[in-house]
Amino acid sequence: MHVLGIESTAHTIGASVVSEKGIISNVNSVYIHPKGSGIHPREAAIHHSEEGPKVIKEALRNAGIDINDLDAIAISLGPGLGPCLRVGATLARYLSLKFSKPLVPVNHAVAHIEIARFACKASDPLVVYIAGGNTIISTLVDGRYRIFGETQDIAIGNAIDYFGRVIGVDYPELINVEKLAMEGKEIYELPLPVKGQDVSYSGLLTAALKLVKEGKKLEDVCLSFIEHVYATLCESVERALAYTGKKELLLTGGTARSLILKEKLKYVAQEHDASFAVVPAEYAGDNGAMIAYTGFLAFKSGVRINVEESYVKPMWRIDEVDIIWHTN
Amino acid sequence: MIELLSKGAEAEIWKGKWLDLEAVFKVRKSKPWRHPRLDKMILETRTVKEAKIMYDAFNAGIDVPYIFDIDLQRYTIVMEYVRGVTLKNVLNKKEDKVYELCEELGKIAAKLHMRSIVHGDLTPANVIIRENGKLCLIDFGLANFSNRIEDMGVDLHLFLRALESSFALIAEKCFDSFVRGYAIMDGYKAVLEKVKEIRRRGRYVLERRLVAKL
Repeated sequence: MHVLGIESTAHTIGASVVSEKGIISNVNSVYIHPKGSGIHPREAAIHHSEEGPKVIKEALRNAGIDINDLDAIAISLGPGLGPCLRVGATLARYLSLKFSKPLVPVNHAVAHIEIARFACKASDPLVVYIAGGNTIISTLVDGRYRIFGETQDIAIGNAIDYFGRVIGVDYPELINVEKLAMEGKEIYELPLPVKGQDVSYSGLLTAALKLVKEGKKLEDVCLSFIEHVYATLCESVERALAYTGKKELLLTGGTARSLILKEKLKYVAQEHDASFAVVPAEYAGDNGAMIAYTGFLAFKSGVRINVEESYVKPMWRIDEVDIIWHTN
Repeated sequence: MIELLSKGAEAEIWKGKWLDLEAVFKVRKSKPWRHPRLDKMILETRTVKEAKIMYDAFNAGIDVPYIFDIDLQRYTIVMEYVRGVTLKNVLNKKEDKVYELCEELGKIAAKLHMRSIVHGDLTPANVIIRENGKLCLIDFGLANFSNRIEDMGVDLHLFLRALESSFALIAEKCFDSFVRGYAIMDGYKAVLEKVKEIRRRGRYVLERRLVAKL
């Protein structure tokens, strides 16, 4: 059984083929935003529509499979940026109709978790999913990924990237802000917004940017900002670990590439006698494989969607999706 | 004779003797993943604040563990050992009395809020049902003095979130009972409205988008 997966929720258009043998191809093309600005949804969508067909063809070629031999096409319908989502969805619908292949809807956030579970062979983890658009601490309870903690405003990756763009570091902002932080010495006190198991980053971001404006040493501000951001997240993760009693901690999403956070979360897991795994770099950022793999699981369990109903859902929450392919 | 009762997110809870009394020692732990200066800052302020707030809640007639001693060098609060089971345990067993207990907890939350105290981590694991059946509220580690409706809303939001994530099937009924008790506070409706707003703030809530259109 072969499933083609297509991803286009934000800056990446990706395609991948998954079969019982695993991930047999994974091709991705990333829209790189101009320095000093974030993703422009329209520009990203134009990039996706130019690159999409090439990416899909290459994914099929690398997998050595003809499009007629596919069993299903999985598409990431959300959450994400509307214009970007529509490009992938249009391609998937077209292929589904033209080659009479069933269409399988995939939630992008669920896919980040599933690919990490698969790649790290985790059986029942507490998942920390952090990226430019999401900050979610979740685990599977009663057939859905329930949210134990999330951001009440902007996502952790968004906060760090925005901070990086204002102080003028190059892409990838996350890594460059962390590198500056490693040279910092002084810690300034900033708000530490832990609301129970939830976090919130907009106030912390504003406070850090105020320090920059006041002309404080940039390395010190980076250190203070990064330490506060991660202390907040680690605390929420720790609370969720204590509350759920899970013995596996799994980190996934684009911000999983962070150099500093991994070390911190490793300590958190250790303190609670939990194992700790991080999604491999190739599956950390958005990618086609996670959609194909999750689509494969869903398709095997009988999940389908009619083309007429396959609207994109820019605000599709992770806890709205029934997870029928795991039994626990 | 000292025994580790639980290892929470930010502190270890030990059981021992203080003078002749059964006592709980809440010891805040240094976190190796926090920058040492940030760590010290956090530990000191939180220990002092927690003790202050518990004392104030006690004076307001709310059942909380009685404080025996505070040790700022070791970031430790020594307090009464409360015998009983947690509300979380009772919810797990889905006993019929859970709805009454939730209503009672709603009343306690209202009393707390009327004294401008917000708990900050109002989950079923932080409520002990004493052997005489009365509810005792524990873990004021994230509590705050506040009369902002926002902060009170967060208390309710967290309780609802905890119900939904672990007891999805009875969550709604439990929360309704909680609200019945909470209604003893004037202006409780404003807080309930706030809870709805806070829920909408979670990312990708459909309703949030509808509100934005209005």
